[in-house]
Parts: sequence; C-alpha cells; structure tokens
Amino acid sequence: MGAVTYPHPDVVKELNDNFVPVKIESAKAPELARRMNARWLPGLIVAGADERPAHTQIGFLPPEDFILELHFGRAIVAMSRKLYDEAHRLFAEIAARVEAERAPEACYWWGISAYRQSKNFADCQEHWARIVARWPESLWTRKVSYALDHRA
Amino acid sequence: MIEWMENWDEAVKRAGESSRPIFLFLHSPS
Repeated sequence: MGAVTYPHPDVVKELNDNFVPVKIESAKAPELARRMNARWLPGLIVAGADERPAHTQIGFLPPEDFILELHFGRAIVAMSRKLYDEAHRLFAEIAARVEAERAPEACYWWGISAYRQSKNFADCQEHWARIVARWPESLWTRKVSYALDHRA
Repeated sequence: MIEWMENWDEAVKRAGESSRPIFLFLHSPS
C-alpha cells in the first residue's frame, strides 16, 4: 500500500479531503485491532466518530479499487448518520460501475438506505429489483429474491 | 502526501469535530 496506493494523487486527495486518516502499528494497539475486528494486516478500516467500524478490508488494494472501497465506507457512515442524500449519491456511483465487485452490494445497501429514509419498503424493493436485473448470477440476487418474490 | 495521524483518540476527536469518517490503516512493523 505504501509503495503503490498511498502515493497515488487521487488516493491522497480522497483521504485528505474526506477522511481523518490514521495509521497505527497493530501490535502496539491490540485492543483497537480487536475492536475493529482486524484479523490480518494490513487492515483498511472505515469507522465513524462513534468508533464503530463501518467497512473493513484486508490486504493490498490498487488505487482505483481502494478509492471505490473508501466511497463504500463513506456511504455506510453517511447512512448511519441519516445523511441520506450523501449516502445515496455514493451508493449510486458505485452501483453504476456495473463490473465492480462491490456494485451489487452497493445497490443492496442503497435499497436499505432508501427504506430507512422513507419507511416505505417499496423503495427498498425498487433498488433490489435492479440487482436482479443487472447481476442475476450474484449472491446479492439470491439474497433479495425472497423479499421480491413475496411483495405485498 | 497523506496527512496521517498516529493517535486513535485524537483521530476520533477530529472526526467528531469535522464530521468526517476515520480511515484506519492498521499495519505491521515497518
């Protein structure tokens, strides 16, 4: 990460503009590593100011993938803070990258976030129906199929 | 250059003040 990803100008901008970046040697903070559920290094963790981990990755990620994962973490934190416009913008951005592995999961959470905002489960189902259409072979399609098959 | 912090408690405080999430890089000894 230190040789390839962190020096990348887009990564520098993303972390400096949108996060509080902190680096800690795991062995010197074992309690923190446990709370963040870090089971391998490097641990790449997005957390809110409430210290709850929102999105955890391990291992090397190239810059483009890393930025997408950071956006996903930001979206989860924004949803948790009820900043739904920001959350939906980020989820939509990830879901639009159809080939990205995180895209169907982003669409899944977009549905949950829409439901949390409106309290109308039809809003969730609308997003989940897109998962079935765009990623029919994915685990996420199997996750949402029950809810879509038993619509009121 | 990334403006890394190295103290968790200070990072939490700054996250609360700035409304930005924390990115934590847990690493092995360098």
